[in-house]
Amino acid sequence: MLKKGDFVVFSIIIAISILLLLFSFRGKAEQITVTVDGENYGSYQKNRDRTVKIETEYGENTLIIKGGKAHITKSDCPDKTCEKTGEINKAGETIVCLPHKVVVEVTE
Amino acid sequence: MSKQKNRTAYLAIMLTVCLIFGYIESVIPLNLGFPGAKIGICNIVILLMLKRDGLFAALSINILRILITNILFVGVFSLSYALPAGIISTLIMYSLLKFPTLSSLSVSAAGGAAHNLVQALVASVMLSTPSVFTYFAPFLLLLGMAAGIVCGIATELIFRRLKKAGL
Repeated sequence: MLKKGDFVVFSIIIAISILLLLFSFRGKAEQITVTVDGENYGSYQKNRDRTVKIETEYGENTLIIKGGKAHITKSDCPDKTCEKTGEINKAGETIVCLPHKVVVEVTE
Repeated sequence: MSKQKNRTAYLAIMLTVCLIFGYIESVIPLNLGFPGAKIGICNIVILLMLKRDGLFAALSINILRILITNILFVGVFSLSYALPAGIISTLIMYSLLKFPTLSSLSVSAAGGAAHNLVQALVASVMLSTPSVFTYFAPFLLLLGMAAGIVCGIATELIFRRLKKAGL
């Protein structure tokens, strides 16, 4: 079923993903940074437990930082992808809520 | 006249099959920690149509199925990234099918990878956060390739059966 050219296509896809991986952020995981529509909403110490209500013109998300991990518990968006993403704690890990333009990231 | 009727019925069946696949995928979420990660079973139908019926039929069915599945099962919002991803991946698969050295497996893999890449790109542009793209894209590319290979194998098997049956 496979043909010779297939391996060229597979290699190109793998090469692009490795290249992109080199560009992605890798550093220390110190803070939880919240961005709304490209603008900084707030940064919070990862190791200090707290609840952040992210209120924007698009809607509301509740971010919980507990035991060095962050997750979104409540969102009034239609797809709930941010809730399903679960907990993040490693550098560069991201929770996205597209409808509310909210990005939660683990940063330095 | 009757041939025209057959074609209408055929296209309707293809669209329905896509919608059923879309529904199945929406009830069985495949949670890999990435927003909206799924196999994209409908890609089997689209690739099969590209091989058998040409670009126009395949692209029209794909656009219709994206409109209907997103309105019915996901939410209108997701159209903003589902539609460009669907159109671009169909066009890429169409161009790659022209190469005789490529099988359905890599054509479908490239389609899946392109689909996910476009979605990640649209998402990061909408959020004006470039790090979203670099974080999600590498994994989404590989996931898209893997899912594409699965769909490609299925497409090839169905394509051969249909040919054998003289359809």
